[in-house]
Amino acid sequence: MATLGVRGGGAGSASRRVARRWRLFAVPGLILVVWATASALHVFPEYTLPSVLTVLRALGGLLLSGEILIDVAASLVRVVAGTTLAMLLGIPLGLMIGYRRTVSDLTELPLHSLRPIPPLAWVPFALIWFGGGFGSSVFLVFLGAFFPITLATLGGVRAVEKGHIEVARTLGLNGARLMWKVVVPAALPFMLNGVRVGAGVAWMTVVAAEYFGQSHGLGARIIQSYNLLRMDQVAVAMAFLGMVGFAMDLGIRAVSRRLVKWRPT
Amino acid sequence: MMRFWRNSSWRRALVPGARRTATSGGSAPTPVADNGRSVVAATFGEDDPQLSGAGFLRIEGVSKIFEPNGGRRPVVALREVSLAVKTGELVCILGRSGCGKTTLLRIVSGLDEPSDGAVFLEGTRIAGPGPGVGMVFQDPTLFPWRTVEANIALGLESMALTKGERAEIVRRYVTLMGLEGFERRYPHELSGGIRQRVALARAFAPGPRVVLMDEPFGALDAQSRFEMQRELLRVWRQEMKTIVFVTHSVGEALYLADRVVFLPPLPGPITDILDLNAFGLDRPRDMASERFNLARRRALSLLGYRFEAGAAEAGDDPASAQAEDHVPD
Repeated sequence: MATLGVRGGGAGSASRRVARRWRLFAVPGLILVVWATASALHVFPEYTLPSVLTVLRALGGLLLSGEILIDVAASLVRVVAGTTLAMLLGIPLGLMIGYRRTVSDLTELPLHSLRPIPPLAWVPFALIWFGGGFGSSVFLVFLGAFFPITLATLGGVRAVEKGHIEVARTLGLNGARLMWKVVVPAALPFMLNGVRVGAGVAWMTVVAAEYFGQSHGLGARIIQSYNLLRMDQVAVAMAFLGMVGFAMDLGIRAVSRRLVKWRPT
Repeated sequence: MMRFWRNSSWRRALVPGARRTATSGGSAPTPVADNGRSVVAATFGEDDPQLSGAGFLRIEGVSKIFEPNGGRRPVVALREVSLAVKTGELVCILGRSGCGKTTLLRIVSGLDEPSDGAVFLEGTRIAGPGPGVGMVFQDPTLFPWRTVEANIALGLESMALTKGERAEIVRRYVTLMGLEGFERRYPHELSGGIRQRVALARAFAPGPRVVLMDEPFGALDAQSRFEMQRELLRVWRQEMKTIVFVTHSVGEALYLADRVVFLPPLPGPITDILDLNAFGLDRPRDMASERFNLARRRALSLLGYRFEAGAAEAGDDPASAQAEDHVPD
């Protein structure tokens, strides 16, 4: 116990925080170094592994022209729209399935037989129904985010403690009030986790959706650059996907922490 | 795979009769009540000295049979239990684990339905849980996403009250239960004793006419438990509530109750009720007094333990005699 106390205190913890920061950036740094060395030594031909410099130049060009920002914005809008739609439909549906036996019976077959179909299998129908524009990619993103969100919400409702429901009922709560004041807050952490997973799937889906007939978006940028064998631009678009997806995940986590601040750490 | 199929809801949905064989495979339940006769007349005649008087809460011929799935035989938990609890009375229901105390309380609260018989609150049949009957469980079951204040307020939120009135009531019960300073805390930040205080405040706040307590202090350490018992008596006197308190502790029942009701270990009607006021146990009760010990001896003899010349002689079940050893708390 004493050693723990000594190690946890004062200057020790400050230096540990510095060490931690180093550890956080160690692996990305190493990858960068290996990549730079490999491209400087021309281990691989330029079109299989673009050099750090080429990629940076491509980044500069795409930033200056503003093209990459338009792509990011286009993809982001599609992801947000599709995920929002999935939340608007999936959360109430998940709540109802968990709460009402009838809804559960009615949805069980369709839900579990549609869920294994990858969103990309819907591409032909999406294109025919919604055309090659905004509608079809939002539809595909929605499909990707909908199932994780619905099932997580359903799991949350099923995990609500029976005791909480009973206490609430002895306090005179029932129906919509019981749902709103007990079931929803109890299931909230599950829902938020579902949204997090759903948003992740949404990013995967949006890229593939944009491969088909989109003029803007990070997915469109990747497939167009590939067609021109501009692997440097492909790498730039991929880097933005990583960063924007990561930022979005951090945002959702921050919102979650605020909404469930009652949770013991 | 076959096992999955046998237990799945799919089987019940697709195979006709699957549901029926699952529930009615066992033997017929023990007959519980003769439906032909009037339960009320049989159990609440004015000639019954212990059950006459203004029955605020009336339990009338309540039986409960659980029919488990999978063809196992039905379990009789309660058989023809009748009891009248007067306005403002504190009744303790004493009985060993598994004798149906909790089942009875759940039926009174409206959470469970009796298989036979009924419960009346001020003459109205209890058909489901509601704000007229409050309940405190052994586990405080506070809502972890609500602060202490908000937990106490939950029952008030479905009532036609202004925000100010609600806050006023919450403040009153915060003070009553000694929870000042904890109002903004979340349940995970509280000790077990404090949590149970919040649960009590939450049950009392909506102004129920009866409060049911299912071994509410069972999980507390001896000292907190004693403190909570004193607190409960104080609150009970102040609030003038009818309280039905379930416990397996003889000491607790004798310390708290106006009347101790002995629920028989095998399902059957209540035959033994110990009226502690008639016994001459005035409050505050001294647990070390001669009279208290006389009451204890009486209670233990009603539980089946014989005491001769002051020496304890265990009943026919040594295990349960040992279980009673820890009781004086």
